[in-house]
Amino acid sequence: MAYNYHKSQIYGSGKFDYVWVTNVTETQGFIDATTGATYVPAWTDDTVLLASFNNNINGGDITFSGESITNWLIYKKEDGNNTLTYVATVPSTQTSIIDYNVKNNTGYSYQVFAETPSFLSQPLITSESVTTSWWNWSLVGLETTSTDNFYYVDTDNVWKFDTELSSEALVQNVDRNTFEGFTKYPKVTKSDKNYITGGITALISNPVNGVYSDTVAMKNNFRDFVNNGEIKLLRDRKGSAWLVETMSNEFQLTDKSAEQITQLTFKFTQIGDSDEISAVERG
Amino acid sequence: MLYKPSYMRPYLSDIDETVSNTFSCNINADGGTTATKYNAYISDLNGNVIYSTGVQTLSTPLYNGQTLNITIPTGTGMTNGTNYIWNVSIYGANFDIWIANGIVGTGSTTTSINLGTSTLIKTGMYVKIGSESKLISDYNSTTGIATTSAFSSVPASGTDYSVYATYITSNDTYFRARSQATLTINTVTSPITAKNYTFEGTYTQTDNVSYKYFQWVLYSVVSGNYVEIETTDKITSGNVEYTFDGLTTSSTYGVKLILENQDGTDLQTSISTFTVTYTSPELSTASTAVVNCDKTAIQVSWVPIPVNAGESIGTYTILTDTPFAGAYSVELDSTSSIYWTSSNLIIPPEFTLFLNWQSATLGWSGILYEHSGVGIDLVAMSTVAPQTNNVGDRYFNTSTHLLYICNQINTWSSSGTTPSVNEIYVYNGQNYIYNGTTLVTTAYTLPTYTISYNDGIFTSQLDNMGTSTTKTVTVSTIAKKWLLQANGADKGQDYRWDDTATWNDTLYWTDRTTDYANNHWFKITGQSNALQVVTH
Repeated sequence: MAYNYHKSQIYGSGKFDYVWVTNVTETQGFIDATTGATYVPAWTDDTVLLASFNNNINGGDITFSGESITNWLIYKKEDGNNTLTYVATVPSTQTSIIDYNVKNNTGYSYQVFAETPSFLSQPLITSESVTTSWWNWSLVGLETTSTDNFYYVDTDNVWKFDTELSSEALVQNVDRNTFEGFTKYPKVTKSDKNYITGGITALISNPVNGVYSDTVAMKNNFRDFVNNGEIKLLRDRKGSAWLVETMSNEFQLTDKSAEQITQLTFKFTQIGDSDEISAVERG
Repeated sequence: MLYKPSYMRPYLSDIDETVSNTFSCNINADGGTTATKYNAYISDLNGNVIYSTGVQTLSTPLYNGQTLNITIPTGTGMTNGTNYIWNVSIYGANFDIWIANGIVGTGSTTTSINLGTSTLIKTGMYVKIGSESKLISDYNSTTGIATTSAFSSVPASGTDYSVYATYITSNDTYFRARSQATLTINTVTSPITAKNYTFEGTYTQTDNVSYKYFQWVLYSVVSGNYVEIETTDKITSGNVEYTFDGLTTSSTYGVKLILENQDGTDLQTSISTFTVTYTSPELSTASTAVVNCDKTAIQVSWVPIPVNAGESIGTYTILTDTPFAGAYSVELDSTSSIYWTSSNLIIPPEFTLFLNWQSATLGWSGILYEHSGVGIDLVAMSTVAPQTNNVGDRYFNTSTHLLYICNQINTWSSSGTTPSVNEIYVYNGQNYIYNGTTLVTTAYTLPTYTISYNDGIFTSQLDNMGTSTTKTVTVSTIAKKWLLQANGADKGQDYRWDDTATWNDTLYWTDRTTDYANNHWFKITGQSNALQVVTH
């Protein structure tokens, strides 16, 4: 039995090329391989401290080719699709993200790359594919960032609609005009217009352990959310997702219920393609 | 009937007069009517014709909608850097192109018709009076007299006439003569050895026509196919360059440059391909993805690689190309040190330490490395949780024998953890250890491990849980020989034999060994029960 050490320190007067500590008793063969004059240590699973003094004195940073990791780059891949889709870039100190731009009933796997000022690593071992599965529509508020097509999720506005839900027809809006002339067939002009409009009716909240409740504050929050002018991510149960703007909303109280249950009906208009954006929780 | 040609090219654009150019226009004509000849003119902006192709007969007549291509050779008299006008006359088979109407003036004869002065009437047109039409063999624009073959009778003054032509002339079309603009991508280093690279282009135009905008297009080359991965915005100022950050190793890319200059000339390069190769470490950790139904999202996590910010006491200097080209080192003076400490930094009792070290001061000796235990402070050891606490505080519950940590101000974690048998806990200045059941007081002090150097000897000293282990490695034995100096001479000095001296057994000769540690690098490997040093 012996005790752990939690502090490592080097003293002058001296020059240190590196300080490297592992949490095992390395073999003689391993040690012999490190004694070359130009040997450069690299981070291993057993490493607890590695300071290479590559322009800084950080002691836990993995380095390669003289540079430290600055960011993690996260990409995802839908099952059945070989294309990697960018998700986010996060600083090296961050070790997780929450990706909201995922569709229901869809499998995803993720790849994480380490980035230094000059290099990209090979991806970390790819995660196992996971398949989303939930039984609700959801409307997620997004916050614009300085990066095009990259949004932070407004975590105060992640609305799930599961109870007493009914969806209106999804109307595809296209642009076609027919011009009658003296020819056998008319001329039809068209544009690129192609968007979805629809509406959702549901209770504003959902039962928890069989008990339903909602509040005036919740209603007011949703009212502000509908009118905040920010882009929103709408997802259905089947596996579709759209970027939408909420166009209108109605609240209907159930007068005969003791809880004065609040039902809402909001209309939406698609304003973008969810495949072209990233939507993650702020780290 | 022919109509004025359209889609004149060049139009508000540039041609290089030093090379042959093709001018063109579209023929406009009634169905069945053909253009059989043409004559193109180039004029300066004062209206002076400086070049004409002359009337050229088309080997194949052109119908409505077809394009007439006209070759303008070099040596036309145009000069690059100057602006010009061009037009073209298109000829048909019949004189059915109406030019003017008028009334015959006085003094006409059967072959000399007074048509009046007109800028529209030209020699070669036809004048029609009544049912007779005659070719105008000469027209005097000053007198208005047209010479024709003989009419059957002298046209009376006041008789209506019409003038027709077999050709029609286009509108004047403005263009510029400019030397050829060129656009190239400067040589791309291949392979590129980093994930970012700045591509540079060169645009030249000797008449000082600058660019309006440029765009770069980057392709990924996959199985010989060029897949566009990024197109820049239209960049309207600055150097013609583009930095892309995100090149992956072992990949092939292509890059293309597009540019439009202020005269509307579009230029683009061919695709330059290059490869990217750099050492890309394989990280052995894995990422995990978990569906978060509560958030209707997926949480992705990966094993953290700790970033333990070093802290310094005194000053330090980062050295480049030390101890070898491309390497970095840090230098500390005798009053400075650097340390790393955090709860995440756990060096277990069985460890391996690697150092590459060199002394920075002649004759220096002392501790060069140390790692030590840090006691875990407890704010309480009690049966009930303290009511006030700060984030990070810990307390030991003497009833549950568990440790609790404060996650939020005045809020303890809901579940406790069993203390570690490898840690020393400190409460009220007293050290405690976990005996498997609860925390008990101990006389053990915090563990330490040091490596020191003195006169060619490295020494490691480990003190942990009452065990003390010392290891030494001698890399240089200081030679002491009899010489004419007193014992304890400064070994940092140089000495020589004094030929006038006489032998004295009470004096020493000291070899100069103190610079040994300054002239070598030492690969030091320390373990709990071993110390190895390799000298370079």
